[in-house]
Amino acid sequence: MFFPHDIRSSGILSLVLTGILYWTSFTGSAQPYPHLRVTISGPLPEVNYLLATEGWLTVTGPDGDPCYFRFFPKGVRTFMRHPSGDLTCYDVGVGAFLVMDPEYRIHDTLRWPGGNPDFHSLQILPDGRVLMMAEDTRRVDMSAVVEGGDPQATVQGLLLRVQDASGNPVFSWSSWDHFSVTDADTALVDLTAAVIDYVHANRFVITPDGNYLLTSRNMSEITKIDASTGEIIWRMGGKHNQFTGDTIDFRAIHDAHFIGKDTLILFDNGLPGTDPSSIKIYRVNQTEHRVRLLHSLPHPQGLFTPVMGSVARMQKGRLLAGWGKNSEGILFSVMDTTGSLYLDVGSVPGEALWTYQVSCTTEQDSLVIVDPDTLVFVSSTDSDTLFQVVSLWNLSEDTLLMTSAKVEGKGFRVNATEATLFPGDTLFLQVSFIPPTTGTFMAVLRLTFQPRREDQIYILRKVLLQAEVVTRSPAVETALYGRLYPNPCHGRCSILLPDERPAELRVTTLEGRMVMLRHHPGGSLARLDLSFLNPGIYFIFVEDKRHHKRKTLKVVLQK
Amino acid sequence: MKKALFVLLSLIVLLHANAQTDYDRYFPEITISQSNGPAPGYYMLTPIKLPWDTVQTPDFMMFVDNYGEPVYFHAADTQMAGIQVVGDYLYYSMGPRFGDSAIYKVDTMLNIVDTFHVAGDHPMMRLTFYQPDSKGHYLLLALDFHKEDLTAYGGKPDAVVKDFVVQEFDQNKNLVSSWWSKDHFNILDCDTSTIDITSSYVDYLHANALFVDSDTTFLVSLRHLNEICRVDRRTGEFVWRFGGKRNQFTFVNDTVGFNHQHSVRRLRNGDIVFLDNGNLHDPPVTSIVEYKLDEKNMTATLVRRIYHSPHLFVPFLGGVEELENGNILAYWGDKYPKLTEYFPNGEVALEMSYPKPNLSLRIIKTEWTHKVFVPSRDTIDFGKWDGYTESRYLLALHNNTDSIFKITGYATRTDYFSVEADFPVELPPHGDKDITVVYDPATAPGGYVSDVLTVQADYPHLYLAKQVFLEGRKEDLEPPRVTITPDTANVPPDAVVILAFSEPVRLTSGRELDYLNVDTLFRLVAMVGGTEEEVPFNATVTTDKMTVVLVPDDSLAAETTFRVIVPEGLVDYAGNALPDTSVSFSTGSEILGVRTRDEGNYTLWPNPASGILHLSFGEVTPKRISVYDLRGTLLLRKEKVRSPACTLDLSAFPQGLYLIVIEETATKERRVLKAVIRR
Repeated sequence: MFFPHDIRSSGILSLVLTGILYWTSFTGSAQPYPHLRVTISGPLPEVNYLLATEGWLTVTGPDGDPCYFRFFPKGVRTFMRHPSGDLTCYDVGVGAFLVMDPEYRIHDTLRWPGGNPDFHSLQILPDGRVLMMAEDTRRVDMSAVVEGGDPQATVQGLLLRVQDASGNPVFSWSSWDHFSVTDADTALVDLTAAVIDYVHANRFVITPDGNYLLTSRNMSEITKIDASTGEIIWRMGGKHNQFTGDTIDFRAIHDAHFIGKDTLILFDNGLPGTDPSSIKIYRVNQTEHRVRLLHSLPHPQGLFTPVMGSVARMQKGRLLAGWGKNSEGILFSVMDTTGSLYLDVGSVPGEALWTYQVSCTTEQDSLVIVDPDTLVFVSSTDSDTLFQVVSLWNLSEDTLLMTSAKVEGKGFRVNATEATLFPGDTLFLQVSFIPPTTGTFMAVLRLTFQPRREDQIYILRKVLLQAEVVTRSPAVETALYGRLYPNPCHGRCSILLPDERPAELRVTTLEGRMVMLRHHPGGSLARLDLSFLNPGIYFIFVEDKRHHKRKTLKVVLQK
Repeated sequence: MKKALFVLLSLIVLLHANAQTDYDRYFPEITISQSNGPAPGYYMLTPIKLPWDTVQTPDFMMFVDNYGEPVYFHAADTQMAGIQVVGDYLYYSMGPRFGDSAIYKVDTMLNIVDTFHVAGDHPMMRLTFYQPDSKGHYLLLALDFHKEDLTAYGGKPDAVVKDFVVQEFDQNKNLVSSWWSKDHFNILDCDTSTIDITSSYVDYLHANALFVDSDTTFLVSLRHLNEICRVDRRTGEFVWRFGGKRNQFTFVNDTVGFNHQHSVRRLRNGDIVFLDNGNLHDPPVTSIVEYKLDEKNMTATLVRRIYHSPHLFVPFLGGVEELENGNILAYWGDKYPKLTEYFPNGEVALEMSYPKPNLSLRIIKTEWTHKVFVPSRDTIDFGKWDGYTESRYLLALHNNTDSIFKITGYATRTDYFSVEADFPVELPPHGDKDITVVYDPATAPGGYVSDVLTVQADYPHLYLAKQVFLEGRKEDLEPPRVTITPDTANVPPDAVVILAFSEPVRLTSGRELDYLNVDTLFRLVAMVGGTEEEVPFNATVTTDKMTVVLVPDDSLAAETTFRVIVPEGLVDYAGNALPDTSVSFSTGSEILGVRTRDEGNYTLWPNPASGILHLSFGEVTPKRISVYDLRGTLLLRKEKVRSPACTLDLSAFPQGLYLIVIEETATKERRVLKAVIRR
């Protein structure tokens, strides 16, 4: 296949091909937001990814291509989706969590009473309960605790709080009552230093049986805590490990949580100079205090992540790994339990990005709807310019400025680069294609929307542009007749019908049950919307009744 | 009765709770134009106005650190001078402009615990500072104005003659002895070419420094005799007289001697050092001189003479002090810069300027600090940063006073450290309160991260601060880089070589770069006929350890190729090695090859500057001033400059070295100064 330009320079092929690498925008682009380096090597789940890369709150589409950016001048951390459906992020400037709806509208702020919450962890449950953490810094005479200890050390302890939907506390817990400073993993914490962060908890979540699970990096320990009494139920890892079975050697861990009644997943950073960081999945017998290591999954590049990291289970057994801060600049990957990689997203050279963790959501914002998301032009060398129309629909509550509309690729043009869309407005953009020569042409129309130019908020959309230019001949027409794009498809697909003759399109299941019938007048393209169907494989029969020409197509529908 | 200055100030605080403070109003903008690793401690200054200064700012006392950050500021209606630290106590003299002053002894709580006056009604104490000997006796210098018939010398029959008396007191402030100058000097000893003894007021001695150099002797500097004498306190006899008409020494290595000198001090090596103001040198030029006096053979060997670069002429006042570490601190009277600290080899450690009032009768540098409030530690080491989480340290501040003490704010020089507290933080009487110091080096370069936290208490008439050294580490995998300039052709033979490192560097052994080892680390070679010839140079390293300047001892040969070689052996603070690097450049013709060390009476400051340069001249004659870059391109020209000073705005030009060419319109005589623009 002929690639119209350097594939690394844009994401134009991401929707139709796998096994490719691309950058999410031209390098050197004037846009201030980060650029990402994406490698797609397998079918992608239909989710958006949530990242907080230093100051940038970032949402990418399923292919890793960003669709939303918002800048927080003092920094933003832990952008996550909660069991309640809320999205939250920690605004460093405010020192609190911002609660957002799926359209990223901030509708609430979660604070710690009398101070700042710890940005590392937050969980909002469907009933509105909130699990949060805070630092509790105290002066400790460490010379009485360890030899060579600092008599005026500052030790950072941990407070846990669960509050109900009205903000009333229902649980509170202090590390000073349950952990000793010497529980710290001394490979990670120097107990003679002036500043000692002995717990460094990074995840505080509810367990399937309604108790709490705490991940403490600097103790290399997972602790189960009784939700009613606050007593420790069990301790796994660290100096007070109570579990037997497979060796527990995880260190400097992050993000432990149950993904089933007895299945525990966590991000094991490990220690420098040992094994690479990995995702670990354990089967835990909580009664007998036994564990079995089911999977240990490093990144195929053998990344070591000394700090940060996250893991989440996705649909179909896929795993979402956040690689924190590492020397390769890799942000997150989608993989399965065999270690196969489906998606790998990192920084482009020169932009060393990191995200504390990564989260995903099946919900997509509907700030701007772009329809269709693919335009296919079929043209012959003797044709004139071809035109097609894309509609842009502002479904947000704000007036949006389209601040740029740019085609990455040759042969295509767009008739407007700036526009104002009032709430509810629809704008039609005309995309033209001038056939330069025969061949296949691909491009991406990238659209940027901003509430106001001075706002560092960017809503990004793209339309895939494809064109085939042929030398008109009966043989070519026959060859092109009934070509299907894209395949696999996610709902909408297009079928080339280059001659002027009307055709009948029948979609059936593999068993032959007809699910759709369409009559098409002929000429250019027939569009089918199969999104009402269940994912699977379907036949499409294209029949030119007059000439008894018939073609059978097979389409894979994914969701 | 114990005077409690501090308690008094506290009362004023209550009365002016919301008023703008003296510090807000009067603290001067301080410019550090050079900093190459000066001695630790605080510069203690007492700037006063000259009678013709029109600035509204009152006289004040301030202590500032090596970055110009103040730790003490106190404005006053009366002049303060003679600042001195002995043991735990601070001494300074204070009094009306032309009146008698007293010396105050202040403890670390800023209470005035003692006061010293000269004895008798008639003499006035001026300019002196408290100098105890090992027995606890102390000497004060007082002025003695008296009428005298000078007709025998062709003068007035009732001339007012200014003499002085050195009074020695015991521990109980009893006057033990008095040494009257009029008993020991003849009026014709003075330099009659500059002193008019026929006038109605005759200041024939002008004693400007008294220094107790042993339990039995003292030194006095007599400006108008161009003489320094050593006096035996027991007999009152001269041990020797050095300089002037009655000089008893043979000068060795010195053909010009000294005149109108100030601030004689005995160094720890036994030599004497003072500021040779040099009013009578031709042309007048001021220098720091150190002599080794051989009292047996009566020779005075000039050990060193340090000129400011560019040359300065300080017609009156100024002085010199030896610091604990052997550095020499010089202060330049009414000239800019205000002070220069030199390493023992004569290289500049620090240079500082500030606007008027800026005439300090004495400037010292010590590590003395008050104990009104004290932090629980002097250094906080935050250890290694994890890459994203802020680290916090609870720093306790203890109030040593009997009343509530308010901490009003803080300062750090970087964004890597900050303080979380609700200011003002009220410290209970004799109690503690914590402030939280936060370490977040997200934007810091990797490696070693350090700063100084200044905890401030800004009261209406008193500004006090305490400093805590802050340090931490940040992962750094990037090796340092070096950019060497010049690296082009047609470089003027007068060029200096600047090595600009991307981050602070030090030796592989962990030793810091300093003014001594930096001379041996780099090579500058001339390529002559295919072989390398070493070019001798002097090197300096800046305090931030990011810039090294190689100044060749002589002008570089014209039309020659040179190589600058940075061999292996330097690392950043995380231990990443700097790869060996070298660049070549070649010199052009000698058109601009004028040595800047030969400049006359011009002052250029600040240097390095960020953009605006000030240039002042000794004589007000029309001049043409041109600014060139190192390639000889004319960037800026001012014609017919007749004022005593002018301003050059180089802020539009990139960082680097520029040449300022001053041309006398009448004589076409040219001088070249070098200016460094650094941002």
